[in-house]
Amino acid sequence: MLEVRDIHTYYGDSYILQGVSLRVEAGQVVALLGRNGAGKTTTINSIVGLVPPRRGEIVFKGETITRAPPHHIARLGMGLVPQGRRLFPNLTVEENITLAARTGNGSARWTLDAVYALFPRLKERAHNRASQLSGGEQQMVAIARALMTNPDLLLLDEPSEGLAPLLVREIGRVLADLKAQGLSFLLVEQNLHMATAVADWVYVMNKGQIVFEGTPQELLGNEEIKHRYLGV
Amino acid sequence: METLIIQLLNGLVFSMLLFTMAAGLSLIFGQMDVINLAHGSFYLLGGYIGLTMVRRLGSFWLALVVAPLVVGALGLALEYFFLRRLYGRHRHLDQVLFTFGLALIAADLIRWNWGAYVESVPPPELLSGQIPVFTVQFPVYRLSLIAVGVTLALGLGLLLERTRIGAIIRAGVADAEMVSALGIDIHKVFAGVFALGVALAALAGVLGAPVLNLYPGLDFEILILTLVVVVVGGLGTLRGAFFGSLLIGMADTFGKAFLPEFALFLIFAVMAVVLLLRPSGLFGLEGT
Repeated sequence: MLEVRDIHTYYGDSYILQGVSLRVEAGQVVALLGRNGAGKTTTINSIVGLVPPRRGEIVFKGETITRAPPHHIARLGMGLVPQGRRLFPNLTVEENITLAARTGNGSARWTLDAVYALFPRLKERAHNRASQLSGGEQQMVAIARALMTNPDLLLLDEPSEGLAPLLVREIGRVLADLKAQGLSFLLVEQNLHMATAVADWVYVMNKGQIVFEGTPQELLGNEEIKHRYLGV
Repeated sequence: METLIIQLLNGLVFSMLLFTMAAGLSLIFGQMDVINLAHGSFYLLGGYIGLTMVRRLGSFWLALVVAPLVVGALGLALEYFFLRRLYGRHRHLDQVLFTFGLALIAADLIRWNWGAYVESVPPPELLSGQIPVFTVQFPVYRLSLIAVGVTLALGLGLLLERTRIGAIIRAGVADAEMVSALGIDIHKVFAGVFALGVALAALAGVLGAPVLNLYPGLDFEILILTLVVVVVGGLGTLRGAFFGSLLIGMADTFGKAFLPEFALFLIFAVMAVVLLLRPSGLFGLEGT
């Protein structure tokens, strides 16, 4: 579904991604782990076209999207749940969710009702401004907003960031739910437990490079990688 | 007492003209992060195009429709061929140089084509004359400008608050990059907002011509007042543009009527006080 081949990405003059390659197959959940500053968010931003790589290639559903504009990439079926949520604070919850709603090619499984069924709490807060929500609710809106574009691949950038353990568990439950429904996603996380619980395949990044890939079990059994790159 | 009522009405008239300008300037800034220093030029150009239409075709109403359309189309072309290359967080200087250069070029072209005289435009036949308001006689045309301003404010408010395109525009004010990452072509939104903004400036130019006349230099006078309005009201908000216009329009009118030597000072004093109390303007988004 998604193949990233040896991408090199810069922010101005800083050389951030130094040859990153990864794959996400249809129906798969792939986790990308690593410490702060390892290049995880840059990888996501490169894939969605916000910070295009200078070298390398990104192929999504058979189409090369390496330097395509972000709106084109999104319309191909890529949904983004960005780091820090990036909700539109001056819009209501419902406006946030429906802003980019796309029915796709007739097979629209995500409608407003379906999203409210997944997150009943958001229905109660439909007419509140996004800025009035708690952190957990904001994360739900960010996920709902991406789902409403009816993506084939969901990119989630640290959905557990800044959330209380109870809420992390709830987001984890939702992700497991989405996986069971056949959605593919690429999950960027610092929360090792949450990521390994849902992922089929794990990559670990450090200093702009992939330093490990394998199954969650392989990662959990590899004390050296965990110690050196994840600080556990 | 009568002077007071007349100045109050005049202040409202001027405020509504300022609002028509400020709404466009504020939308463009909020959406595209571009400070359009040519906004006053689009006002004056609209006014002069209106003048030509009134002289040649004898119809103020036609001028009211055609001038904004022509200037709006010009805005689309300018956005597509030039401004589009200058978007980006660190390119404010490029944008300011471009729009300021545009304003200088426009000022010369306008002077070249229409001359350096003060031109007056008669209000349309239907709205000529005066009617009594409370205890004073007030021109019908000026009164109708107040109605136009309020209608425009309500119309723009409904567009922004109640439609999908309005929600997209407001979302773009908060985070344009995120809007594009959701699959919306933000450049099309930018182009539309820019065209709408400059068309509003041209509309203000035609509407204002019978009140303020047309002359070289008016472009920058109007631009400065509009910038003050947008700063006082809060960047990128329609409500801010409306109440900022009322405040500055009144301050300017009353200043000129009662304290002519201090009129300009008064406006900037109002701005300073507002910014001291609310650094991001009356209705500005916090933290921006």
